[in-house]
Amino acid sequence: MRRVLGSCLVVTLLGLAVLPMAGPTAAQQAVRGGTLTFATGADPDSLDPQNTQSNPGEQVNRMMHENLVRFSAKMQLEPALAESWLASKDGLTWTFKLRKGVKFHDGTPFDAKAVKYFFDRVLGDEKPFKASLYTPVVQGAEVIDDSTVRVILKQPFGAFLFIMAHSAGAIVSPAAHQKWGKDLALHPVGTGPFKFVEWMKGDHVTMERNDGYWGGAPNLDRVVVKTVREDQARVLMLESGDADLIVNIPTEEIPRLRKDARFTIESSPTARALFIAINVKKKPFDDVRVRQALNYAVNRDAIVKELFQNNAQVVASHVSPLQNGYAQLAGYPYDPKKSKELLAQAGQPALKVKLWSPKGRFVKDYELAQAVQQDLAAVGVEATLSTMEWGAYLAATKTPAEQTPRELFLLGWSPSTGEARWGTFPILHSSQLAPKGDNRGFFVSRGLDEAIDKATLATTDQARLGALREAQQIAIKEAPYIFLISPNMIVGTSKKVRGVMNLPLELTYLTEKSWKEK
Amino acid sequence: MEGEVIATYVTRRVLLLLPVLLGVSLGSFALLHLVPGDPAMILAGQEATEEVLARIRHEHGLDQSLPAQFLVYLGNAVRGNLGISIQSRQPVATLIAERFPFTLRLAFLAILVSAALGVVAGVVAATRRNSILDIVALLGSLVGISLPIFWLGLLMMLVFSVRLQWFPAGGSGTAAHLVLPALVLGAASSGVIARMTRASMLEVLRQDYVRTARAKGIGERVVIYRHALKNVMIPILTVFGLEFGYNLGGAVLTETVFSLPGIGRLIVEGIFARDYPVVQGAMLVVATTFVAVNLLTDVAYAFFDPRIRYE
Amino acid sequence: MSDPTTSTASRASGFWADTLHRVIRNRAAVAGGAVVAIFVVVALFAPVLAPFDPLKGRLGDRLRAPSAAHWLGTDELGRDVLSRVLHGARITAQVQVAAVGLALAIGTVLGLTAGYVGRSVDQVIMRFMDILMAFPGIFLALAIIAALGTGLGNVIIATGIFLVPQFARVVRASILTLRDMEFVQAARALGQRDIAIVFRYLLPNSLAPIIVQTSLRMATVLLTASGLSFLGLGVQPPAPEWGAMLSNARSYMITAPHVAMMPGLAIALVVLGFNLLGDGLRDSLDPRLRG
Repeated sequence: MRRVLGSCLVVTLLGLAVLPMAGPTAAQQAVRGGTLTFATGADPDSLDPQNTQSNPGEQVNRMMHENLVRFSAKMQLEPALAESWLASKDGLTWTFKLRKGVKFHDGTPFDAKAVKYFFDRVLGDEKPFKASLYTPVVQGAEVIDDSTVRVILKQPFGAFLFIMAHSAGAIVSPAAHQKWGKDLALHPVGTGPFKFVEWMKGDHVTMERNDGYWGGAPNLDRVVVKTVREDQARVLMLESGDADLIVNIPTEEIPRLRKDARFTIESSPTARALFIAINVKKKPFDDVRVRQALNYAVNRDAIVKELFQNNAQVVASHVSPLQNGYAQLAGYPYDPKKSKELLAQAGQPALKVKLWSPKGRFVKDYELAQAVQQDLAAVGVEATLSTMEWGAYLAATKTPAEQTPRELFLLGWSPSTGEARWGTFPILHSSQLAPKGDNRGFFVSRGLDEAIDKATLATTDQARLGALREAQQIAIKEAPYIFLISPNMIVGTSKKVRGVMNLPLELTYLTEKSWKEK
Repeated sequence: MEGEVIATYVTRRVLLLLPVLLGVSLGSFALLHLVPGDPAMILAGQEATEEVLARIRHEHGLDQSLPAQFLVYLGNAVRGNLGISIQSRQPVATLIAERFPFTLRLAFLAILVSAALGVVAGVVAATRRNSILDIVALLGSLVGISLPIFWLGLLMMLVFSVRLQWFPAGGSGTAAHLVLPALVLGAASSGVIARMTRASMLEVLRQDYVRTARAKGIGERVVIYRHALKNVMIPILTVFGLEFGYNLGGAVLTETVFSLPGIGRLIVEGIFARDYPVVQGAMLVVATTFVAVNLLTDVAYAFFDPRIRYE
Repeated sequence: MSDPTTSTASRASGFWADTLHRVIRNRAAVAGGAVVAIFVVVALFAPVLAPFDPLKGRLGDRLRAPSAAHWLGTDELGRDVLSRVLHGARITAQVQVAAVGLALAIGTVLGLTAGYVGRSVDQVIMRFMDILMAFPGIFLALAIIAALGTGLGNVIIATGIFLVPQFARVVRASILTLRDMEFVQAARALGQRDIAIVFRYLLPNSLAPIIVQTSLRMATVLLTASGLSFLGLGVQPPAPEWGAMLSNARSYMITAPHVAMMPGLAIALVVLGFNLLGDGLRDSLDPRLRG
């Protein structure tokens, strides 16, 4: 009896001694130091947050700049440069209490004056690209004291914090803006965990640790974001160790890479919708039958299943399921016969169109355009495909109607506020026609405008969601776009790297908590 | 006396160069104006408001006559001002200064590779004339000339980067990143050098003084190295000059395949980005360099081969 | 003093060596000619030979390895690679014929003028050729594409202009040699008009180097045009141009390398064919150039 007890005791003691060693490595100590190489497919279009128009730039900005409030990985709003905030009863005034003792990378202090400077800038004459996020909503800002700032709105706006969490709400050093002016994009100065070292356009951006970061000195010494256009090259870089983190992995590589124990491959849905915008000011695209015909011609299911290997989903409209405010509606089925009928009715049995597409900006964007080109050819629409570098593409698709040859062009939209009103207003509202806004197809519909405005002014969630649903219904019927898919974001991380931030807004970036094993 | 002749030769060649350089600058200048569209709008890029357009027209003198504009362009270029990139707003000269040295390094490495491969192959082929080695060398050099560089690059990448994982598939930073690109570039031109070497060697080997040396009983090796090779270097030198140009051209494709930060990719990306100042400036620099290299090769040629100087 | 026996022996062996060489060379030239002939046949009869429509693909069939149904497999949009390679020959041939034709016409006229008229006209024309040649390799074509845009027509113009100096120089050199020959002087003395002299004596005797150049330049055009398409600056999708096919296939190199191999192989073979043919023609048509 005693011997059995004794052996049990010994075994238990041994077990207890061994257990901690066999436990998960979650409790591993973060390693200080190291350079992390992040390979992306497109160069940032700007490093000035108020002028950055697309994700490659936004990602990099988020490592160097911060907002008053930010999104957690689960898309919850949390404090960042503001410790707390209070909205007045009428919803017209928001008072923010700012974090104390924060400094910009150039040594100047972050305070209420800097926040006021931010609002003055976006609302003023400079008119940076992202001004339209704020100008319809914000009246101005007042400095109460060094660490308190009051923001006054033009009307109550339920999604106000969302637009403050948008990448364009990053607070830039006023001194830097005054010094560099238009060249701020080449000399970014923020409060973030990493500070700017250099940007070799088209090749890489280098950032280094900000030792004075208020959230604690970051673990990583340096972060290098490399622009590697070729999908294969990025994958090879991950496999050879030349890159620790890559995005936009071709879907064919996923099964093979998943078998490799050195990496984690994550394919997760995003808030992005891909579509082909139509210039409705050019004949015959002003005829809704033509636009609907184009929609019937595309075999979305085949695209999702074969081209993307199910790493995407079909979307009925321009709003993807992950956006707050998404309505489950029926979209256009694949019906080439109906497509040909509509084209014949509209008097366009043999249409020739110009199809533009970027290359390498979105996963398989160019192949997607070619697949659409193929589907269009099957209904008698001959599309000539051409491509441009992303920055030039953005510029070429934003020129005014009288000057542009564009007809059909592939675009994606992912509201960095995570909700469907911002997923609709900038791209389809009549007040946002290019070149002022992002309504690059010049679509105008009073019904849609009204629905969006209703959603903006709605005071209850029910009203807001109802209005958004109506907006999506109108959009589907009017077909300002050829609706396509919502792609997943596919991120490959070396298992040596921890703490990578993956926002479902297709934004992947590193924080002070990220670290890398030696 | 000899110095005078060389000096005259060089002066003449330089004088002949001037119209070429002028033409090259004219060609680069014309690029922006040949493109359909208003040059001011093109240069303004994304922010084409009326005030910006007016400012750009004034800054670039676009309201003046074309010849006046060209003179301004020329004057600026000579002083090193090649304009501002539309995309990055940086001076074009800075962008070129960042990228061109890389391409030059690559081209130089490629010439070394092609020289090593080509000269050895050519000598072997010439000395073992009509043997299997000769035929192999000949065929190999033909294949080298015929293989498309981008295909060879992809093949090498597939074998050495993907399957064997010996070398990186792209990017820059270490010497290892240059190995595959240099091999690919060098392989193509090694064919030309091999044939050139073989032909020159054969001709030289037939010369009287070589036969005399042979008859005297001097060893074959000595004959080759001391007498033949020296005279073979002359035509090979010209080939190097030509191959440098070929390598510059091939560098465009190699840099694209291997994602290298050179001037070739700068030009290609500039074209995609409709960034014409970059394309103009880079073309001008590349052409000028090529012309200069050719001049140097000709001068070296004249130095080594007295017969040329009296042309 | 060299030993007579040795020199006779070496002379004899030299002759046989020469013959052997000529045979080998000619065999190579024959092989090259065969490749070119096959290429021409394919280019002409592609629509008949190709089993599938090169532009129609089923997404469900994409990236299939070579099989009985698709001899060379399918590409990233489900199209039959063999059919695309065959039709690619057509596009390539179009570009080659048009570009070389363009360069031949312009280059011959320029070379003739420069060589025959001489003096300042010659200098001016040659300087202009120097300017064109100052842009190495593909750069000139790139500059022209940058100005004119992409597409089949502009590729033809870009590669054609790039070749003009080569033809001009060859023709000029030939004219220069012929111009001072006795029969030409005689014709002049007899009062024959310049144009007649050009067409009756100079051009026909320059045919040999022109033919050699034509064959060799076909290869250059192919490499340059497919290079441009590979960069994305040449012929655009969905056209089955070989360089463009290679470019599209890059993204699938690891999982489906066959899509990249075939078009590249096609380019290499045809270029080799034209090079072999050109070399062989040069050897047989111009004995002075024999190595």
